[in-house]
Amino acid sequence: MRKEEKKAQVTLFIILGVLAVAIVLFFLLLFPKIKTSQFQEQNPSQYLDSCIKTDLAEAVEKVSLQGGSISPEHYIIYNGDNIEYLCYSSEYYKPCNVQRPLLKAHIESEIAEELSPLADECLRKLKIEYEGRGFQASIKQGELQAELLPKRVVLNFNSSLSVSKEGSQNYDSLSVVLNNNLYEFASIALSIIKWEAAYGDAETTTYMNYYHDLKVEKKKQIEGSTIYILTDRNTENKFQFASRSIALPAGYGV
Amino acid sequence: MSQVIKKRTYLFYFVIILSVFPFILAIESGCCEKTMAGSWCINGPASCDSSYGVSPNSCQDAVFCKTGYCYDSNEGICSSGATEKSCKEEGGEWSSDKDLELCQQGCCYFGDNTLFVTESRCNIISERRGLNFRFDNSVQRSECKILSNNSGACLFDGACKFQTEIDCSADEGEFHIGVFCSDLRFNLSLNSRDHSGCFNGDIYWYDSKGNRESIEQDCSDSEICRFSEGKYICADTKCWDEKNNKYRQNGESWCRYDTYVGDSLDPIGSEHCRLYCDNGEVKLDECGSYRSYICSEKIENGISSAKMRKNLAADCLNIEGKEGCSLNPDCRLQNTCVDTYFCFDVCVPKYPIGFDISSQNSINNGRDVCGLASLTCYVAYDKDSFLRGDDDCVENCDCETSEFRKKMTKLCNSMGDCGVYVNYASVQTETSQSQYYLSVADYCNSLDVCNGCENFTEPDKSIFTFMQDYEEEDREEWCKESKDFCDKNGQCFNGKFFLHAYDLEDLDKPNIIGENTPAWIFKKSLSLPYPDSLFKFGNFDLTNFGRPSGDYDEDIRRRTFTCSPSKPPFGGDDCEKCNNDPLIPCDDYRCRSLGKSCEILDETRNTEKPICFNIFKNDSSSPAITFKSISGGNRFTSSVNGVQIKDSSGNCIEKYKKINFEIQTNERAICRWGLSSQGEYESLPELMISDQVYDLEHRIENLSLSSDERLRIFIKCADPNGNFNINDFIVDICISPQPDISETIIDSFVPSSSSYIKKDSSNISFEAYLNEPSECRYDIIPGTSFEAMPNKMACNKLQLDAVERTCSSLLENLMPGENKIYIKCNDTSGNINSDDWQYIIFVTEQALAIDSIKPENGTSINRPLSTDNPLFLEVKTSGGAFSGNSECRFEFENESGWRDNFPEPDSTSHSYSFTSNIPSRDYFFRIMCTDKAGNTAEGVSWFTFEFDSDPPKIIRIFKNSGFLTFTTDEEAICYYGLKDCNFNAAEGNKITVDFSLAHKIKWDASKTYFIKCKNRWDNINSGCSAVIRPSLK
Repeated sequence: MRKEEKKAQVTLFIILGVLAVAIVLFFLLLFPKIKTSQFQEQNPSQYLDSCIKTDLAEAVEKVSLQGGSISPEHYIIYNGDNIEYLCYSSEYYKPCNVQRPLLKAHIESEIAEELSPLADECLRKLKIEYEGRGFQASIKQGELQAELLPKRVVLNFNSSLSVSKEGSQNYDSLSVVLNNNLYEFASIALSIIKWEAAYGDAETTTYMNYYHDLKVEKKKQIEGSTIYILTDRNTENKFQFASRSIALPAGYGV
Repeated sequence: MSQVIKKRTYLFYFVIILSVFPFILAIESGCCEKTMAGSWCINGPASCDSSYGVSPNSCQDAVFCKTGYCYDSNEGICSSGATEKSCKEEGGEWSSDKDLELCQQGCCYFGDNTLFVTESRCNIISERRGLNFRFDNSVQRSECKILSNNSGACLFDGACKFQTEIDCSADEGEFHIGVFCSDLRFNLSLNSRDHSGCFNGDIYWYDSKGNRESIEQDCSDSEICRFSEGKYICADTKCWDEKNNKYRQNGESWCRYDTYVGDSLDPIGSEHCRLYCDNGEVKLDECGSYRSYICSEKIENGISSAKMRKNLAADCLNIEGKEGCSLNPDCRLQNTCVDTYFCFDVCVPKYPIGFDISSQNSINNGRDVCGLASLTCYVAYDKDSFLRGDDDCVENCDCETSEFRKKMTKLCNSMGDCGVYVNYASVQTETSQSQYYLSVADYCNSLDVCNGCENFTEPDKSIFTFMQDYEEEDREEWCKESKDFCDKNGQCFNGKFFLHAYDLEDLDKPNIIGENTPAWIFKKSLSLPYPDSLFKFGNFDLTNFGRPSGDYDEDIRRRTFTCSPSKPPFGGDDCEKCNNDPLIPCDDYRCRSLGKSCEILDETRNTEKPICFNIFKNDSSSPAITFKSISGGNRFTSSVNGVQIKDSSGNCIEKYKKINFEIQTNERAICRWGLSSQGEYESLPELMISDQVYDLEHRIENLSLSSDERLRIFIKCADPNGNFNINDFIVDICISPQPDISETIIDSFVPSSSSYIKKDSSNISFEAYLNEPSECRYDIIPGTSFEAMPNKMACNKLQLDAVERTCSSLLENLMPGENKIYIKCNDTSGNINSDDWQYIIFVTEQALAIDSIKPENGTSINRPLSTDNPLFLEVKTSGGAFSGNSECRFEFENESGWRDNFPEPDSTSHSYSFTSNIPSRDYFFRIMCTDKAGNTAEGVSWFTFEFDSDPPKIIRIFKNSGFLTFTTDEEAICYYGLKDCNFNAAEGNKITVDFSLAHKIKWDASKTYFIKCKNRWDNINSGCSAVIRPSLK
């Protein structure tokens, strides 16, 4: 082979190499959600965990800072966050109406709805991973369900995975667990809302006396809204929500 | 052709869109059950989702906004304060029953965990964790705590977590009690004791993956783990309270007052706040904006605990008796005694509520409330002594002294942020000649009102004691029981606490009524300027307040004190003071009280740290004034310092004419005026009229040209930074020097002539407004000469500084029907009216009556209500002053408390429609009507509303003339299907076109008819009403 031909071949490989890197970078930029996930044939849940857990944590943080909703519709802006009213009355002197009576169920559906497309994508990729390793894989896909439990948020895929190579294996309880106090926050929020709806105010120090790891802050706004910020002192996780109840105007007006 | 198809296509899409998307109903007022944004029970203006209820009433009165308990049977969770639909729509079960057993909470023990939940929730949680549970509803929330914390390494999926055994089993891990994840046998390459951290108040070691390990430092009971200066330490949980110069225990709470509180002296901008000690840090719980909430504190065993509660000050202005005032812990009696006939007590707020000076609403910005303390003292002079060249005062003479202003200023300050006072930074508000009396030094020296003063009255603790002593459930229970004592807004807790405070108060009842003071002064005095004001003090005697009794041979002079909202100090040098307190965030109220140009920076408004700043920091120029317009065709020409004004012909304007004029400033300003040149802006006595506090246009209205030859108005305008024009802007009005030959003109009467007053009224006070100073008399016989007229009116003829010329009197022995008097006046030039001025008052002869009310007593209504077919409340009135024309309102005596005005403001026929179904029950209601003369009439009625929830039944089936015929037990529309009973009525074949008892369909033996029927209430059979197979015969 002539020296010039060799040179041309090297150049070609370099160009191809640069192109390959560019293509990979292009896909990573275009689809940032595509992540490299750890895969263990015997443990599909771990694959799903690494595939979706960051997004689950982000979704949980988002709903926590926004009063339990991914996209709040009736909210007050505080420190740049759109914080949903969980109890509201537009009138002065009037107690509020609870806006999300089944708060836990609402938060669960918000998280599930937000993560549903990603969960589908993770399952699809999981199937590809198995197939790439010579397995035959089939997935019977169910509806993604988020569940708030004490100290944790569980994402149940409600899907069954069947893989077979030499033998066959079924995985029915595919789930991802995130350690988080959202369940506790939601139940404290409901309790505070109960007081707000009855008396227009809630005694925050009482909660802190009951639960030493909990910090409850109340930020009264001059137009009558109150923003409650619940913080876990150990993890610094927060849950924020708003209420407007028995608001009092300036002066002696009606 | 194609156009027709196009139109049809559009129509088709339109129908599709309408059927898919709910119709939006935009309302200005009233209540949406649900808005398009998905919020429940929102008052207008709002965009309602038309698939839900919309009420003309506010949400508080709307049936669909009634709240109850919502139970989530899937989760065993119960919440309160939810409406029925909001609950059911999310899949919950709703109940109005407070004692719903499913909602009773208790302590749930499962494994090593506890939760304070309902029993069913306890069951569900335990089941999901695969654990047995024990539920104890006798345990309180505070006692329901984690009993143990046996943690260890939990290995799963090649990872490790340090957690409890129960949590580990939930993760399906392998549990190793008391062992850390960094244990070498696990071979996980974790660094032991990698870093420190806090857990449960102590300092712990953590491995390199953040798993907790052994305790590094056990903090004592009075300490807590905290990160400080780059490391974790055991910090003292006590807090240093800098303001009170003492330590506070962890969890202790106390009140934080900006400065003086109580005695009606809370400075402008000051608020009550509650602070607490949280693990070594002093934190703010909340502040009561505008002092609408106040803080009360009690100390037991050296530990303070504080509560914020609603300020009951608004009630002080509604109280009509001295006892009522003493009973309200947030009210106090204030004595204002200037002289014999100007001596009274009024009920004023102990902690006055602040005003929003930026509000356009005269109630919120304080104009109405401050105005209640604008009072006139009538000073009587010996008329003969005046003619002799002396000026002997006879009665109420101290109203001419500084005591009058001093005492009235105090009263004015007591109403709220009124009059000249100090802000919470101890800076005096803007002053003016008419109000200024006390200086900052006066306040500080005599009242200890400034910073650092210790001698103040704390809010009543008895209310606090009550709040503290009752647990949540008991409060609700008591609240329910004591519903009768709820306040006017239906807020149970106010009424309840309020009532309790009565019992605890050590009542000290001062003697409020002096011997010579008419008894009614107490309750009526404050209503003087606002007979129809919100506070509804009722009718009152305008002329006799503070006036000596007896005949009016004296010359009566009026001394009026005007009380208006306090204005912040000029400029914005102090704005920063609002930002300096690290604990108390600034708000609009505090910020604006510090200076006219202090405002909250918009981008910081909804943040943790709103910033107050000076919006006119670099402004040092004064407003430039230009003359804009003048009334009555008069003309103005520019002069060196302002303008000269003459009439349209260029001549001087006739004396005693009234004019209006308007000036303009090149920046927003407040303008004042006076009749003499003054160096300082504040020294000018009168305020020009403007629509906003700071405005570009400023007016003087109804200026009486009472001077001879010339009237000079000196004007100064000040911008929010305090810059004002040094040289007065002078409006120089030329007044005709010709001798006064014109007679007195009575411009108007109050009440106006030909007014009606209530039936059986025997006297009334009236006042005549004149165009020039005069003495007036009257007689009931026309044509009587001025000298022969027996009734002298009380006139302010000799009061030189009076803005308005008036004469007043009390008309007595009025008869039903027309009462006419004839008035003549004698002006200061001796011009006596040649003709009488007539004044007529009609006393209502016939009582106002309610002729009929519908629904009549006992009416039974059992049809559905809708917009097309509503239930009408109808009232017919007659009699009264205006042939029955009146205004009516209704009040229902049921739980919903429906009450509203009928829409017709002045009519004999009133109608109000109920457009949606209401619960089945008896409804008792009261009708109250009032006409413009104040005559009232009341009536009551009741009706029964029955809601049908049963579907119609088929009671007879037969063949008739080749048709299958059947009848229903009520009017219905029936449908049939041919397959089975599982069809929607809308999809079925309609048998009956309109609601009917009889229904028929073709007799066809080859078919089986599955029939459903729907009644007018939309009740329809879930299965079939009947399945009919016609036989061949």
